[in-house]
Amino acid sequence: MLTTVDVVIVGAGASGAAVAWSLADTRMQIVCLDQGGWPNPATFPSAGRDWEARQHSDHSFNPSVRRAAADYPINEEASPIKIANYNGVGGGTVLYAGHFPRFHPSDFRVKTLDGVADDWPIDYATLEPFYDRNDAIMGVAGLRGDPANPLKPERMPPLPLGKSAAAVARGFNAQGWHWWPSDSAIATQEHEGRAPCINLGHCLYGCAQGAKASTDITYWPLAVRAGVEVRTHCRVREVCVDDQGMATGVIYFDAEGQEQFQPAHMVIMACNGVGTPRILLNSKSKLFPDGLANSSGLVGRNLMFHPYASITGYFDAPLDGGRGPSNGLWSQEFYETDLNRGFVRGYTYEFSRGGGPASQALGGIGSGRVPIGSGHHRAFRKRLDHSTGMVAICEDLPEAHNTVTLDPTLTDAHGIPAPKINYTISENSQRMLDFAMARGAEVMKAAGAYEVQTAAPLSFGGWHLMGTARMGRDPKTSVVNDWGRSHDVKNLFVVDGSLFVTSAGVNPTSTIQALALYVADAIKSRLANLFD
Amino acid sequence: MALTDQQIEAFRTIAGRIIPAEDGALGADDATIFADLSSSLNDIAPAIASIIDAVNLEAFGRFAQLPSVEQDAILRKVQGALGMTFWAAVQRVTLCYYRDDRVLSALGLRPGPPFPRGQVLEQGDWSLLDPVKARQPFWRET
Ligand SMILES: Cc1cc2nc3c(=O)[nH]c(=O)nc-3n(C[C@H](O)[C@H](O)[C@H](O)COP(=O)(O)OP(=O)(O)OC[C@H]3O[C@@H](n4cnc5c(N)ncnc54)[C@H](O)[C@@H]3O)c2cc1C
Repeated sequence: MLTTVDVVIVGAGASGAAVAWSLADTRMQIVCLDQGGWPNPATFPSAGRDWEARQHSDHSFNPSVRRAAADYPINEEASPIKIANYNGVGGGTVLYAGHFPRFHPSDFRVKTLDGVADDWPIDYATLEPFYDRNDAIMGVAGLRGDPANPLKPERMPPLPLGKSAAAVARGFNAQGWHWWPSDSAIATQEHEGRAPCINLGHCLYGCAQGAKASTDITYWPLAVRAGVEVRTHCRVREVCVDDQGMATGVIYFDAEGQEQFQPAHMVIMACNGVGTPRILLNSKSKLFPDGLANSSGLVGRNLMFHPYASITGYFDAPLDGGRGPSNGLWSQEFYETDLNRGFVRGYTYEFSRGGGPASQALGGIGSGRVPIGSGHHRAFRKRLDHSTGMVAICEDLPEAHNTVTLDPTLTDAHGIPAPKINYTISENSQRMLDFAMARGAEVMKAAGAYEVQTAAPLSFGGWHLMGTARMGRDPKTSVVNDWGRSHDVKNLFVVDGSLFVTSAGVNPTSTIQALALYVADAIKSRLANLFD
Repeated sequence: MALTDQQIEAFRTIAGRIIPAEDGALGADDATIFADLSSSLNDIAPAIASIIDAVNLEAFGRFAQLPSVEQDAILRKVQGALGMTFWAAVQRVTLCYYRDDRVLSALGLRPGPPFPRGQVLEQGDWSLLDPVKARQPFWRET
């Protein structure tokens, strides 16, 4: 048997890295287990000629396409939105776009302000110092003074607009609507030894330059230097408990496929909104026959994704194509609730520059705008580098019937039951998507697009995984308390996107990491009586 | 499953119609492009085989001899019938075609991968932000 450690963290992604770094202060013995390995930027697609092809194979953000040894199968037949993730040190941040918005203060008061879903047990002011600390460590480019948001600290200079974002900005200006250079976890100047962005335009498939802040190159080097051990290629099956209902450690399969038990005084779950409920539901015992920490029955419920709409404009003037990060600007004109729009809550438009030549050709063929056969070249030459777009990221409200459960038959390579997703798009979300496509098309037209293409939902866009072990003060309506500790198991914590009570209309990672730092701080300030 | 030489040759004709040598551009059946393409077909071999079968059925085994207009019509029909199976081939052909140095140069693009050279992105017109800067904060206070 392995020696007992103070803390075992399961998952080395966005939140696992942040909590490990913060807890390293305490000099506790901390081990983090992840089912994947350390990414190697030298092997990222943008360093090879087949860079666009690898988006569709070993570097796809869809694990069902990627099928790496670190991936686990997910039954997502009953969901119109398919999971996107990365399993390895850095987690989803290895492949994320680096959009780094914060929640608005109103996002923590959804019930009070709008009469739907629930309020969070914490508020913006509580998280603000952790947002600031996280921004400093990840490295954020942007511009202070966005009138749609509370003031944030000074950041690195914003990403260039280029021709494409400037075109879209003209569209927003013509409508008199808000836009602002987006906060992006992408270095625009040297940051903590990381080189600045050189516009590879391939953020979603791993940044070979290291300009994008994934946690394998931000938090983890700091945490490892401070003594945290990262044990890779270790897939956790379950959290074990003793007769008193306290967690005793985790069972995992090591790199050689051997079953191991890692005893620990404290277990922290950081496997994301799908991976964490999967492990908790797999952790059945006499005391917890329905899965661990599940006396509320809410583990795996209230899954939220953020349904996305895309809006693409075709322009006569040449634009940037795929040269540069997809990030550039956002608009929060329609973020706060206005019931006259036909839905409650709101969304953010996020600019999306464009893809490389093969991706543009495939997009054209797929939409019927570029034919195969005769006429292909003429149509493609007209369209190449002449389009740009944006997406609308819509707030998804929690609904108990949107779930992560265990598939009765599907298992991973270690025989561990796989997750099954059941998800439907609500009527409110659908109305929001429709509104976002209509207003988005107006922006593109106002920007000078001669043709606009819209689509929703983006079926491949299940990259924000939230809500499946929500926080709250009442053990009947939440899984963990207001500082991330399980109501049922006093030495079990959750720090990943599962914690979310509501999803807001923005990308979640800066909030996930701020929460992880906040939970770590709560743990550190209560060390003497942590398990009372 | 590995494709036979005969199947590979048959697919070369099809690839050459998916992206044809027309309007001064190379086709996907160009020797260098097709060598690259054919080396990466085995993992979608069942899809390729069904496309070849479907095309042969429509063309009574004479696809290569037909005029290009008829070839295009047959491919459109097979595309409609096979859906995602046909798309797998289109995807592979397109991904290999648009990484050929000559193709990219002819389109005015720089051949080779983005890293490590990076790419140029102009700053753009930041004065566009002036009207937004003039706006009062409008996030909801709680
Ligand atoms: C293509 C893409 C684009 C995205 N773009 C953005 C963006 O622009 N902005 C944004 O805010 N967010 C974005 N996201 C989402 C972002 O990546 C996630 O919100 C974030 O990484 C979630 O953090 P987490 O800590 O909850 O989980 P993750 O970062 O997903 O980490 C979970 C870790 O747990 C490990 N794990 C899971 N199960 C087990 C097990 N049984 N045993 C051991 N280890 C396990 C996994 O291997 C993984 O490393 C994007 C994601 C993707 C995939």
